[in-house]
Amino acid sequence: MGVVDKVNLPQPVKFVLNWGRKYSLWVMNFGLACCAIELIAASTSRHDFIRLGVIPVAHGPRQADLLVVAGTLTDKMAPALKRVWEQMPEPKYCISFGSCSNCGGPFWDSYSVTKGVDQIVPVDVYVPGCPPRPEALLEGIIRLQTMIADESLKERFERQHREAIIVGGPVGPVDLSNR
Amino acid sequence: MAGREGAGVAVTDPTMLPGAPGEGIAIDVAEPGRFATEEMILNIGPQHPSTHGVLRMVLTLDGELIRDAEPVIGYMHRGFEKMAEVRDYRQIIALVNRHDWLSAFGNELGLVLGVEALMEVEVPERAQWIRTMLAEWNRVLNHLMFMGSYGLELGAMTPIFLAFREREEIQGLLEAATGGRMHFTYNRIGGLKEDLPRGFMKESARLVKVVRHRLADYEGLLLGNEIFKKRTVGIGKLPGSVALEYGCTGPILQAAGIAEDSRKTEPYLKYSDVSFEVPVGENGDSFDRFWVLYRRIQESLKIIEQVHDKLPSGPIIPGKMPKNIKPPEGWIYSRAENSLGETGYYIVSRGGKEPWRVKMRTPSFSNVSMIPYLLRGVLVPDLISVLGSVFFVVGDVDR
Amino acid sequence: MIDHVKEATGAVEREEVTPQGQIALHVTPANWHVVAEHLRRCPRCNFGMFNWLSAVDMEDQGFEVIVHLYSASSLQAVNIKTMVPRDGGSVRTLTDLWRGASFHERECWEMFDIGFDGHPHLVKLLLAEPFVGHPLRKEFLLMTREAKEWPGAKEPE
Repeated sequence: MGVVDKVNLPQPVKFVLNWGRKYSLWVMNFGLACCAIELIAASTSRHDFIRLGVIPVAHGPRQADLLVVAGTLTDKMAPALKRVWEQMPEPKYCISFGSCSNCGGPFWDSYSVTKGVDQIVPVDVYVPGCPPRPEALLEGIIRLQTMIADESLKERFERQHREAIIVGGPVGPVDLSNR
Repeated sequence: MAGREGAGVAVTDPTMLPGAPGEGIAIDVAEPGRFATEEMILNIGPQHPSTHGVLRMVLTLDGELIRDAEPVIGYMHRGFEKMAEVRDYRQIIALVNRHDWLSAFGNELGLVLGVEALMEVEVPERAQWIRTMLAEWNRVLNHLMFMGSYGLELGAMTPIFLAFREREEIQGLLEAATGGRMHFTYNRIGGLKEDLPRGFMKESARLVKVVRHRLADYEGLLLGNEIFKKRTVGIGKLPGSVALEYGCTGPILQAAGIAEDSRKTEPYLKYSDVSFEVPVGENGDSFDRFWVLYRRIQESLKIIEQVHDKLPSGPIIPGKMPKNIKPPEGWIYSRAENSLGETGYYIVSRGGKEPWRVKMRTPSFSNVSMIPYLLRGVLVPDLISVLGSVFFVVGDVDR
Repeated sequence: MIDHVKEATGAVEREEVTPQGQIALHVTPANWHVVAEHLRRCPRCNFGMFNWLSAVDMEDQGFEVIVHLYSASSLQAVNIKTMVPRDGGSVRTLTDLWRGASFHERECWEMFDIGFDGHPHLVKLLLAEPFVGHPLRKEFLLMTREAKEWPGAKEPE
């Protein structure tokens, strides 16, 4: 992408570029299953993520910069997801919406489900729930935008370890003794 | 234009063509069949904004005419039937409301009705009436979604916003009772999870009036719309006998002219105590399928009002239900008229707390198998209007 | 109705009526198509609706293949059942009687490995291309459950 991802930009330039990027995230709807309905509900009048700048009319992956994977990813569908992700130009972000795309969800023991979209694409925000409320998606988008506001693209591309945002906070040690 | 209808005639009317006056371009209009065209295979891939989810169509095209269409399904196959064999009956209720995700209550209903019949459990009256009411609310939810999304596929942006406006209110109502916006898990073997909250009946009565009043918007925007009619009337005709052969049920079968509705032919719950009509279409084309949806919403609202009047008080689950559900050995096929068609469960039990086999008969699987028949001879622009009118949910197709 | 079918085809081995009133006609695999054809073509039976076809793994006895038919005119439903051996079992296809049988038979084949002779297009329907195995057979175990036991497996009192 030229010089933007190779040097540490001065703060005012970084501020303006990040501001432009975070408020115009065009989303590629990768709605697969039930979570897709909550994704559409999040874009309609009551919850409305369009007011945050996230417009769901990317005509194809090449015009999008945010991918929202909503729903169960099966092994048959995984190559298509990989191809769509690779078609998106940098800088791009990914939100994993719903329990199935986070970790396989209620189908954890199925023979044909990919247990977690992060095996295929690098995820920036995890939104847990089955299905998550549209408000949870709005929170995920806002936290993503806060992250974009502070980031430097050089660091993003050079970083080895990805620190994902989990809406609702990370899950601590879980007591599985069934009370 | 002069000479257009003949074959191989030069058009030389100078007032209509570029060039100096008196000169014209000689156009040779070929007779049909004179040029050989090759067939092209077009793949409408699994990720496409106009298919309802991940359905892939492989079309063999001759120009713009579809010679053959093959739906490639399985992109949402999660293995429900295998997973049901290792879960006990209480867990399966939570599992099955995820295959037709737009009408989750109806999915659970088919399953619990089957297990209750196997175990010969007497479900209390109040639970049956509440189940009837919630099943009909769920049907309204499902049909509103399809009315909105069909409009969106044909290019109308407004109906989907209106549909979701109604859906949000109804989902709020169902969330007050069941705790979930989409996957309710409200049924239990023998009855329901808990009783309705206070204020539910009042809110439900108010919503019936609101939805009925707003349904007139859809009539004006879509049913009476000339563009909509031009795009859907006469497109995708499906005769009744062919629909039966393929196993189609639900609104598609009713639009094809056959009044087959499990609520009338084999009444379950309290459908024999309420009066409603089954709308039957005349032509079996896309417009009729859409019209049947619209009428079904009206009939469902009628049923909900009747349930409001007749709801008795009482318990909602029999007192002595065991915690471990172990139906006796045997098999049963239980079906419910879900919003998209007949959702049935063939349950084989060997006396354990997990079933031996659960076969899920889903309506969309049979409806999608009919797509090649419908699409032969259809032009590509009509593909969207035909595909959108065959109402299916991909989770239902693939399970 | 059952007696009429038994008389007309002579191919029904045994009939079964459950306490809930559901009917199943047990036939041998060779007579599978014969009985189905009668139910389809006979104007008195007129089972024009093909509802579903599937199989149940009966372990040592083999696979029980079931087809459920419905008649929209007489509002009756009937199941036809047959038992095929575990390895190499097959029945004749029903796609010439009902076109809708095609998808169901493909799915039954890929899940259980039961052959359907005469099926025009017996390829994988739901599973991914590289998938190996036939999932709904009892010997196909869900590996995630084998690798890690489900933590909530405690029984309520």
